[in-house]
Amino acid sequence: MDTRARKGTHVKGMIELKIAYRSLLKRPIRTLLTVIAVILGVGLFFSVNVATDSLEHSLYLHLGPTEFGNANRWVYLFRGILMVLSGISLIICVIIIKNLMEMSKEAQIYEIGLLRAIGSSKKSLFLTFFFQVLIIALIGMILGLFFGYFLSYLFFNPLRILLNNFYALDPTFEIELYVKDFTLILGMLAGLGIPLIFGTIPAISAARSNVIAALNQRSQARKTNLHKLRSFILQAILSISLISIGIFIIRIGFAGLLSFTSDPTAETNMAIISLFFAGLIFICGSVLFGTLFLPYISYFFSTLLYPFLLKTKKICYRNLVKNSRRTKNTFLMISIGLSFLITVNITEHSIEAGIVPGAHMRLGGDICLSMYYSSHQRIIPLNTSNNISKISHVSNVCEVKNSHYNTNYTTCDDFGTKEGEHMILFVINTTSYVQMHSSESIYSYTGDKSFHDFIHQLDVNGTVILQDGLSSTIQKSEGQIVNITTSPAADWFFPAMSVNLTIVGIMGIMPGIRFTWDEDLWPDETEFAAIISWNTYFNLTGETFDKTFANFWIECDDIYQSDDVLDEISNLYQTLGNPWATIDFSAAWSIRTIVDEITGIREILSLVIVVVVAILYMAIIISMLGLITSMIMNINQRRNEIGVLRSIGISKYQIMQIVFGETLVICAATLITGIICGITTALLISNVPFMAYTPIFFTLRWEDITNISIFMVSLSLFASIVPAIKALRLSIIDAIRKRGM
Amino acid sequence: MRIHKKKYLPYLGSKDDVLVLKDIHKIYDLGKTKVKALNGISLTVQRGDLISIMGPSGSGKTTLLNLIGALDTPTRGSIYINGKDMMAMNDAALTRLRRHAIGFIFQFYNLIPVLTCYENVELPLIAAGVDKNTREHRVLEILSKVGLENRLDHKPEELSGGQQQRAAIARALVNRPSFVLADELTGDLDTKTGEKIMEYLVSLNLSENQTFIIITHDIDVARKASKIYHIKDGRFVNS
Repeated sequence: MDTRARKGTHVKGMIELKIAYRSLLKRPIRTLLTVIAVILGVGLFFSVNVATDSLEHSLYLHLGPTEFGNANRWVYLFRGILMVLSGISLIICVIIIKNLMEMSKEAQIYEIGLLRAIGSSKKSLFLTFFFQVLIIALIGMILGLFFGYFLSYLFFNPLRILLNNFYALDPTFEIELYVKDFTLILGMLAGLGIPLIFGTIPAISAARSNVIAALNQRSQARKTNLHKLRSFILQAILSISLISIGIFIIRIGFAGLLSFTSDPTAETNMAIISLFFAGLIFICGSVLFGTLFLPYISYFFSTLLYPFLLKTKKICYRNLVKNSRRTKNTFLMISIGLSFLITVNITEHSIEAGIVPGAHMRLGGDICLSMYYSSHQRIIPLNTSNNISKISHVSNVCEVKNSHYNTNYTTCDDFGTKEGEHMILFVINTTSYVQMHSSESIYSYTGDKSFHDFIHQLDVNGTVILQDGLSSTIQKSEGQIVNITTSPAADWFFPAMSVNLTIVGIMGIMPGIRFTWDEDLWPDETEFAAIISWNTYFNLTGETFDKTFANFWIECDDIYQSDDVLDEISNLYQTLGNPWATIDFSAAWSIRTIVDEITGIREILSLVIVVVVAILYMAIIISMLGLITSMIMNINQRRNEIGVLRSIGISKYQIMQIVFGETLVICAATLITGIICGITTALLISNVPFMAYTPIFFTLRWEDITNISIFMVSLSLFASIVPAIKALRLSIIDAIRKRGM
Repeated sequence: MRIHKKKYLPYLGSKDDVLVLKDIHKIYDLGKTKVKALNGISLTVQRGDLISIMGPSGSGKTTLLNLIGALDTPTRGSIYINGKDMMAMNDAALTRLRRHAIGFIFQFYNLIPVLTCYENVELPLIAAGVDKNTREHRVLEILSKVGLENRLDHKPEELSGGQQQRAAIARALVNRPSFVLADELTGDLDTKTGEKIMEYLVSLNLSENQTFIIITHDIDVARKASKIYHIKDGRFVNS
């Protein structure tokens, strides 16, 4: 061919592209696994966005522009949470790409030195590595978008069911696939941009390699102790900063969640999303902090696994330390997903542990024979409680009554007189109230009395306990006198009165009284409550036990019998010949039992957990692909070492021990870090008071942690099979010749 | 159809013969072409021999080394190591053979980079299941013989080329093998250090009656041996 013609076809960068392309082809398994990891990561990220796009679009078509706004707030919430979760996969992909490029640089270090020695420019070397990432990112991005497009179908049903729990949807509502342009661009940016940015760092490092060190097959000039100390300090600062930022955002997120009501607002959405985001930052920081001690952790586990590693302990441990960057990357990508998985697992059980007490607190008992969220009352004779308490499985009945709720109907000093100020006075049976609720739950009250003594202060005639917000609003505290006035409201059977009562206590959350735990029930309105005893009520009004009406909070000896108890109350109502003029046991009256309450929450929780855990397991699987890639590269780089070991009489079984041993040590280090980080994050979540009506009791199930650990170890051993087989199949002669015999 | 199992006959030669090669042929099948690397090599090495095998590049000396080192098997012919037919051995037996009967010295030392000088030498003893006290005694003894008693805790990268090669020699000898195979052992060293290394080998040969088979293309190295074999086109041309 004519030389000029050949020159004419030469495009700048073509040779680098050719080298990059051939380098990838030369290591097909490693390239394939990395591409699969990118496809899964990008696919997962894109799929959650497509799913929420489709939900949003279908909702708009279904509800029309007027109603759409309310429902769409939930979609934003779902999108935010899912994006943060799928972000974990992207982070893992980033680490895999970075790891691949770093190992690729180490594997080709001699070539790099050679190319530099014969006059290749730094730019040319950079391009060689950059093109490798570009090819992987391009293929991964394109296939990932396709994969994500189809994967999004899997999210349709859970999203529809989830939304339906919060926002009643027509049964005919179906989600149609829809992709916004922005989502497509976002997916492309994530798929292409993130790998390129993080793959470029090792490419720059390769271009800047020291020629002599490279020709001597050392990836970099030896680090001095000062360099090592500087890296250590920098990493410590970075990880502690991330942990601090995580804790800071978690607290902001929780503060936002305190105002969470039945519908999300932009603020509460941000709070929940930031909570997940903060969790991720906290975990990343903690895991990064853990890498500072990785050599010690590796040594500890190498020693611990001594019976398994036997003769190869030192080789195993020192290789992990020698290839610290690879070990660190592998450790990071597995432990992030694992930590999140453990956090989610513990949080799930912690929420689960709080469901029954939470529902009990919200309803005031196991059955709420009133509309617990407003002042509407059942007009039931108070003495009916005698009949109710005789029903089997009923362990306690708390008679309760409340004043009319609206501006100017009930006031406490001057609170309740202005527009938007609402006050409600509750009358409770102090004995059963104390028996049905405990101080170990979520209530906070002043003084150091027991919960029993605190509530029984109301037995003294003319006493009242105020909600803390009310106390601070009217600026009155314990021991002071407060004026409470109720207006006549015949429909609600609460008499008019204006009385001065002595404040005997200030309480944060009052079980059964929604305003105290759901402060922003109505936007731009303030609601407060106070409680008095029946004793005070009878003295003030002159009514008697046989001649007044009330509602009931009922406690059962077995919460799962509460539906049966309600049926019996309904029968009693029929037997007594309908003495309760307005009571209606139909659904419209929403008489709720604890079973209704917990079933709904458990359904939502389990659905959320299934989606979250599925995403996290996918993240872990992606990280396992990274582990396989890393171990294969490890074997390739140590071919000569394996050859020498085999030549001096180390058996195939012992070589396999080295491979499995290294994976096991990484896995064990990852596991212990993941467990510590996961438990810490879950502890942090459960210790901050949020969403008062859904308390979280830190619950650690060691059997679940054991199962996750077994899963991880099995997965790691499974991930070692390919590298181990590769190591076993190495021809001793070829392996020794890797550097020359 | 009956399958006739090949019969492996025991070697009936002298007890001093540590290695016997009989009419060894090695043919590499490269798909369309077949390369004859060895073409009827026969050799007997006796205890205490120090022999060198010389030849130009591509003559077949590396192939021969692989076969003697139990790293590869011949296409035709028999190899007896300590009177045992290597062809009758499975992979595990070959591993045991390498572990107990053969010592290797490589051109590029090939020490395990993450292990110290002491640990590198100790490794074959660990593989052989030798107890800790015996290991310690033997490692210190052999390292002292090669003059590395002050470099026990140094990693290979902290040793000079000559020191690394001495460590490699110590590793090859520590298991008291029947014979030691050395492939271009001075190839990566300067002349002076190379000479010193050869002096070590000769002295060990004389004092310990240790058998050495040295593969080299350096005539000065080859001259130190008691027997020199020249290999060309896969066969010995004269000796």
